[in-house]
Amino acid sequence: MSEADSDEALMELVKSRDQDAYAQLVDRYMGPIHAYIYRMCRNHSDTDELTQETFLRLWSRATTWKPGQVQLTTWLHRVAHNVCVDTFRQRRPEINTDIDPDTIATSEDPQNEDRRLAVHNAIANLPERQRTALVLCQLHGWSNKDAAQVLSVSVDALESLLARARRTLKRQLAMYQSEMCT
Amino acid sequence: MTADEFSDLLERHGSNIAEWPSPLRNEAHSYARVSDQGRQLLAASIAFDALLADSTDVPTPLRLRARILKRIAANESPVWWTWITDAMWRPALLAILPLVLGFVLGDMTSQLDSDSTDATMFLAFEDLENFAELNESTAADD
Repeated sequence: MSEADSDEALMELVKSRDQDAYAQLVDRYMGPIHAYIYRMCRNHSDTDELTQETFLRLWSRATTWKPGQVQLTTWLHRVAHNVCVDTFRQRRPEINTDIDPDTIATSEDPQNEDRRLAVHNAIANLPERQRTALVLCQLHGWSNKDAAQVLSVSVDALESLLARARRTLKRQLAMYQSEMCT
Repeated sequence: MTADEFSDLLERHGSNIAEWPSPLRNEAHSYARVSDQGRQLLAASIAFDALLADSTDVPTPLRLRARILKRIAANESPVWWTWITDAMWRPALLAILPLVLGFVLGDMTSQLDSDSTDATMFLAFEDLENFAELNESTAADD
């Protein structure tokens, strides 16, 4: 089986319980899904656990994905989003969305560190739907249309979420933003 | 286009005007070129995007892949095999094994005894039948 196999072909094999095809999909999508979940929950151990849960659902619910309706990457991000939301609701007091400074890539410049921490905390404190919209469009480079599919909202509603998220962050990070301008 | 409209569009679509929907793109480019306020808004939006992009490095742990694939493989094994290979049960299984073996051997031995008793009784009755036939023929001769 080659790396060039399409998502559709691999998913058909996964539906018939082919573990090699499943491994290829894990290799293909684990990076983006892990990064997405990390940006949603800001905590490494929760990120690993929720990424695992997302891929277990890919295996157990493969038959619910309908090729042609939505791209696999969009479907998988929607699954990841639901896993995050379910967990946030069930374990609200346990999930620590305050960023642990040790988990952020370190920089020699303390000013950079400070700025990085402020950005992480500002994103973590956004309401969940605004955070999802921002993470997908701003940090993952998704189109507004694709991100709207993940959140199951209209493109207009997605853009409204994005605008509110950006406004909030610009207000909170104004100090750092002016540093970036200079 | 007004400054408020341009600012709203920047918040909805980000600072990369080239990726905006096509009906808005040309107008936005023109506005950013001719208007000082437009230029400032665009510069601030680009700086904001750079500020957020600065924090995007998220390494994926290597062990996670193996963990996920192991879970899938475990879920696909027959239940009895998963139960037997579960490390916690291995010592208990080893302890039980001689006991089970004893029961099986005992049962087999008792089965063997019962079979040989049946054979003896069959032979005895067969002799008895022969004896009866012999008596009957002797009586007839008399």
